[in-house]
Amino acid sequence: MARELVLFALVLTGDACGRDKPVTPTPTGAPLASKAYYRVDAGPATPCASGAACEAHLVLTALGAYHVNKDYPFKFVGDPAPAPPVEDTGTFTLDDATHGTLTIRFRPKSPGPQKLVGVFKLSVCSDDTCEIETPALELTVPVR
Amino acid sequence: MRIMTTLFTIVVLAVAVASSQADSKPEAKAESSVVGKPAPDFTLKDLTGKPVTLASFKGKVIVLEWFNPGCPFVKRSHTAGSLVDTARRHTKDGVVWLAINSGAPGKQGNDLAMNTEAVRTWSLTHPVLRDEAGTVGKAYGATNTPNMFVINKAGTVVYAGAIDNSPDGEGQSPEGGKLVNYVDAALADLAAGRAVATAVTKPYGCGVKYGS
Repeated sequence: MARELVLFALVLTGDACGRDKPVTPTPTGAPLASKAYYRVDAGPATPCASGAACEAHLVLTALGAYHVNKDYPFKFVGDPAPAPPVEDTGTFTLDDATHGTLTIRFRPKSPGPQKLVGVFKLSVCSDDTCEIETPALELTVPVR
Repeated sequence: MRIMTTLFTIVVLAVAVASSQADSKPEAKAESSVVGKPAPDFTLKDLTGKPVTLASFKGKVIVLEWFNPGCPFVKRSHTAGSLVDTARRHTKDGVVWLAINSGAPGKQGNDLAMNTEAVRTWSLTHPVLRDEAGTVGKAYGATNTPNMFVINKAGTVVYAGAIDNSPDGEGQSPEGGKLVNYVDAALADLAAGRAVATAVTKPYGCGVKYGS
């Protein structure tokens, strides 16, 4: 009992202090969009079935002296033409100073590779300047 | 038993620490050191070198807009967002509108030609004043571009903060779903003889490019 309590306390205090939080690694493959000061990559694929509520992830990495502009209203404006349409403009989570993840929700109507098409509105800043970018993206998501 | 009591205390304290840390992360509260106080006077030169003194507009409602034509938030607000026509609408009604660039020499947006070009491209009819030393910007506590200040007829600062509640600069992402132009609202309150309901908001955009 005592050992469990000690372990519980250690886990709790470790979490509260945010220690050992892994820093998001910068992807190395071909990005969906990039410039000298940022890149956007597809996040890890999550299982997605036809007709079900699914999620796709866009990972923003600020490069060089830039960091993610935490005050900016990041969003994905989906192109209404191709199926499947996205259900909203996404939810942005700041992972650390230079990484953030936009989660996009959609509901595919059929199985097979589905293309999400739209514009990712994003902003990164350095000590000298801020940049707003609106890259057009195409993200292919496998659907069962 | 004493060990158990000690361990239980550690657990309780850890839970308390975790809770207090979670609770201590709300959005930074908007603050201004000048709202409710007399507007700091200044004399600055416009883009043609003509001096402009704030006190010369005594008895008028004045809007100060911190400006940087190189800042993408300023560009978007002047081309697609709330700054497209707000100055023009209110200056017609006798409001004085002054843009102030507190960028230091060599910093983004300080260049005279860039400012002159912005005035032309964005069809600005109000002066852009140069505050290269940053003394006026610091006196008002201007932190961002754009950063707005409204001064009432008595010379008191009655609003400080953002131009609106859409931190993309374009008016396309208003917090709460409805676009609110805070300067419009403050000027409407003044015109109606009311106290300004929203006197301070958190400005968004680029940082002011002070020299030091």
